[in-house]
Amino acid sequence: MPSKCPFCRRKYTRSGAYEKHLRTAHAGLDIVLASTVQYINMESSVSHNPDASERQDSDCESDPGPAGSEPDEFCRDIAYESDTEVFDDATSPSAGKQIHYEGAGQVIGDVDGFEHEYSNLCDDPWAPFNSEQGFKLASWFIEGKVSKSRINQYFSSGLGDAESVGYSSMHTLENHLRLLDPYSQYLQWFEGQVEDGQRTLPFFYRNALGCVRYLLRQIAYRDDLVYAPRHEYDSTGQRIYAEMHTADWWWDVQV
Amino acid sequence: MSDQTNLTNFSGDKKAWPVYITIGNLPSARRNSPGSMAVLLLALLPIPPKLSKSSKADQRQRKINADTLQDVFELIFAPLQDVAHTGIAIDCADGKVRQCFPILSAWIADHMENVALHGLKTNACPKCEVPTHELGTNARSHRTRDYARYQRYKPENQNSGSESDDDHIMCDNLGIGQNIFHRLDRVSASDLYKPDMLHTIYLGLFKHMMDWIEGFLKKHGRLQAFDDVWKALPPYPGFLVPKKAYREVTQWQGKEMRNLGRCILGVLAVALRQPGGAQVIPFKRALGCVRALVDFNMMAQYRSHTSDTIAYMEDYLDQFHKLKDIFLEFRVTKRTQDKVDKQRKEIRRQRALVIERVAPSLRRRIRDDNRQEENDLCLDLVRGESHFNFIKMHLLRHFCDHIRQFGNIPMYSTEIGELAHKTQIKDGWRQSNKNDAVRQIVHSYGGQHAIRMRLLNLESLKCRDADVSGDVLHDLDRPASTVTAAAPVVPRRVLQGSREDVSNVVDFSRISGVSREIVYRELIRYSRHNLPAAHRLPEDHAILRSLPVELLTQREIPVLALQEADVYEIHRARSTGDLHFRNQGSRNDWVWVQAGTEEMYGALRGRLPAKLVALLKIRDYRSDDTVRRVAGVQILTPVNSGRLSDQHGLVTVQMREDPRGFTIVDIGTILGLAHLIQEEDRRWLINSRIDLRTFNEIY
Repeated sequence: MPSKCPFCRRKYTRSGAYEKHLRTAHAGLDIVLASTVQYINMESSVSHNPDASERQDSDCESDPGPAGSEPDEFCRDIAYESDTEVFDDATSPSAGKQIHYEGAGQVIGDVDGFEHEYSNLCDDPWAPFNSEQGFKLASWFIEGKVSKSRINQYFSSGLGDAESVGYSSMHTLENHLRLLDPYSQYLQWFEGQVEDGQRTLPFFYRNALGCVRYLLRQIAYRDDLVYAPRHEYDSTGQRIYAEMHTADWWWDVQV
Repeated sequence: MSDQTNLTNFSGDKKAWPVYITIGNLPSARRNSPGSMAVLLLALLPIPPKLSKSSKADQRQRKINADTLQDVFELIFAPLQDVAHTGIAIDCADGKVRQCFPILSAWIADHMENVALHGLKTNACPKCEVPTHELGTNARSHRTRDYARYQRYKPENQNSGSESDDDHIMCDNLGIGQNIFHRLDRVSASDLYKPDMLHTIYLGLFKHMMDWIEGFLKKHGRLQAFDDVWKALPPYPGFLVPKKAYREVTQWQGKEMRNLGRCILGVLAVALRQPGGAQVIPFKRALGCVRALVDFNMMAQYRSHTSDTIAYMEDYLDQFHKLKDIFLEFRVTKRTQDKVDKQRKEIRRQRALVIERVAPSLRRRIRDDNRQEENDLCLDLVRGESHFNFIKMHLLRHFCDHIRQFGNIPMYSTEIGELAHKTQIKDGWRQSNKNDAVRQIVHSYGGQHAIRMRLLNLESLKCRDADVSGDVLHDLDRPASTVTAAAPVVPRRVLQGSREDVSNVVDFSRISGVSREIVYRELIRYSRHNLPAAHRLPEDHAILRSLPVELLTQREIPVLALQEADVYEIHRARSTGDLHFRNQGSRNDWVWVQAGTEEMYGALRGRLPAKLVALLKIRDYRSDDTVRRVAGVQILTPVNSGRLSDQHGLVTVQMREDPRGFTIVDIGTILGLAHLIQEEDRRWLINSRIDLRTFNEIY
C-alpha cells in the first residue's frame, strides 16, 4: 500500500522516496508542527490546572443572567480573530489545527470518592457477586434470555453450586443485579397516567437529567467524552465539520 | 452539553412509542454502535388510536390527544428545563466535576412523527416556512419557523379569523396541536429537526427515482436491458448482489435501497448505452439527473466535511433540480391520468366527426398525424399538471446547513433507534407474558444493561492499567455486539486457500490455460523490474520450471476506510480459477492494481482495474528459500485515456485483445477490490459509486 503524504496529495510506495519528499517539499513543516504541538499542550495544561479553572468558573457564576452573555461574545471575537490567522497560514502547508472554546468544559472539582470507587472496581471487579463464576453465570442467564422458572429449576435440581456462585434463585439473583449498577438510581422508572378523554393509560418515563448524569459517569466512555466544542481545520486551513463538537451549534450555544 | 433524543414506532399489532436519549458528548461512532450502550430508553408512551379526518367527535378527540401529548412531554422534559440556564454540576467519568448545561439539540424521527410533534400539517417542512407549491423547487430563502410566534397568533386566529396576509402564510400548514418543544428554554424548535438519510433518501427519493426510471426505461424500451445488467452485477464487500430482476422485487428495504444507490448509476448507464438519434438528449439528461442525486447521496455520507465538500453537495443538488424535469412526465397522479383520458376521448370524438368527411385514401395519413398530435397534447397536459412538490424533495435543501450546524449526517440516522428497539423493547416484549407488558418491558432490560455496562467499564479499566484482575475478561462470553476498538488489522495470512493440484509452473499453466511461455516471460519480467539484482528469479526456463509453486484462491487486503485513521475494511479478493465458489460459478474478482504514477490514466490516478487470475507463491530455493508472492492478473486499459464520460461520469475500460493480457505483479500492488459493470463484450464501466472510498478517489 502506498503511504499518502499527510500534507499534500502525493502518494509513495517506497519509504525512501516518501522520506525524501517530506524532507524537501515540506521542509518548513517541522517548525509549524512544533508550534502547534506546543499550543495544544499549553491549552490542556490550563484546563487541567484545577486552581486556574476554579477561579475562572467562579467568575462566570458570579455574574449570571444577561451579563453572562458577555464572556460569550468575547470568546467569539477571539475565535474569529484566530480564524483569520489560520487563513493567513493557509498559503503554507500546515498540519490540522484546532481552536478550542475557551473556558468550556472546565473542571470545577473532583468527584467525592472517585478514587475509592475506582480502586474498588479494580480490586473487586465482580462485586456484588462473590466470584467471577457467579458473574459469568448470571451474565449467561441474562444474555441467553433464560426464563425465571428455568433459572429456579436450575438451582432446585442441584445443577448449579449455589454456594460458589452466591445466589440460589432468580429472586436472589435479581437482588444481586440490582446492586450491580452503582448508578441505577439515575435510571429509575416513574409511572405516569395519560387520560385521553376515554381511557386512562399508564406510561413510563425516566428522569432525563438522570440519564445524562448516568451516561457521563460511565468509566467506559471516559476516553471518548468531549466536554467542549472546538473548531478543527485541515491541512489547507479549511474548517472541518465532522462530529457535533466541531460544528457551529454547540459553539453558539456554549456559555 | 447537549442531548439527543430519538423516537420511532415499532410495528406489530401491539405498538409502543419509545423515546430514547443519549448525549452528544460521545463521538458518533461510539454513541451509535449498538454495543456501547449509550442509548437509554427515556420513556415508553402509549400510542393514540388512529382517528378519521371527517367526524367532528374525532376532531375534538384529536385536539385532546395533542394536548395530552404536550403535557406528557412537558413532564419528561421538566428536569432539563430547570438547568438549561443555570447549569448543573455533574460528575464526569474522569473523576472531575463539571458545570453542565444539558440542552435538547436533536430530535431524530421520521417525517410523520416530526410533523405530529411540531404541530404541523403533513406537507409542511418542520424547519422553514416553505409553501406547498414550492416544495419541488430549489428555492432556499424561506424564513425559519418561529414556533413561539405561532403560539401567540394561534388563539387569535381561531377566534376572529381575520388575520393579515403575512400571518396567513405563516399559519398555513399548521395542524392541530402545538409544538411540544416550543416551551423548552434555550431550545430552538426548528433546529431540532434532523435530516434523515433512511427516510428522505433511501426510502424516499431513491424510491421515487426508481419509479421515474422505470417509466423512462419503459418509454424508451430499455427495461429488459436494465434488468439484464441488474441481475449480472458482480459482488463487492458490503454489497448485496441482487438475485432477482429489478421488476420482480416487490418490497424494498432501506438496506436494499442503499445498495441500489451504489450501483444504479452504472446500471442505468449501461442500460442506456448507444442511444438512438432522438434519444441522445433525454438519455443524457436522465443520467445527469440520477448522477447528481447519487453523488449528493454519496457526499452526504461523509463523516467529515469541509467547505469544499459542502459546496459540492450544493452543486449536486442544484444540478439535480435543474435536470429533474426529464422525469416530470412520470410523476403522474391518478387525477391527472383521469384528465388525460378525458381529453383523449374528447379529441377522438371530434376527430371521428372530421374524418368521416375525408376520402378513405387520405384517412390513414390524417390518422397518423392525429395520433402524433394527440400524444403531444396529452404530454403537455401531463407536464402541466404534474409537479415535484412533495416534502422529501424539499428536505434535501436543509442537508448542507445542517452539516455546518450539527456535523455529519449519518450520525443522526433513524436507524440507530431501530437497533435500540431490538434489545430494549422487542426482547422485553417477547419475554413478557403479554399482560401489562409495558411494565415488564421497562423492567426486563435493567439487569442486562447493568451486566453489559459493568463489562464495558471493566474493559476500559483493563485498557488503562494492566493490574486489574480482569485478564480473564477476554475469554468471557461477551455480548457479540460489543465494540472492540478496531486495531490496525494485521492479517495472519494474507493468502489463503491453497490448491493442492498445483506444485510448479507447469501445473499452473495447465490449470489456468495460460501458455507456459507467457508465464515464464512474465515471471522474468516481474523479477527484472521488481526484485533486487541479487534476489532475482532464475531466468533459465528449466530452473523456473522446477521451482515449487503454490496456487492460492484468496487474498485478504486491508483497505483503510475513508476518513478514518485506524479502521480497516478487509477486502477478500478471490480467484478460484475454474473451481466453483460456494457451489456457485467460479469467482475471479476485479481488483485495483497500482500500475503507474498519479498522473497516469486520467481520473484513475495511476491505478487500473484488473481481473485476478491467480495468486501464486513461488519458493526460490536457490536464494535462501525466499518466497515471492505474486498475482497473475489481466489488466484492463482505460478508454478515452481514463477521462470521465460527460454523460454518466464513469470511466470505461476494455480488455486488451492481444494475448499479452496476462501479467504478473507483486501482490502488494493490489490495492483492493474494484466494482465493474459489463457494458458489452470486453468493455466495462468502473462503478465508482460503489463505496465512499472509490467515490473519493475517482473523480
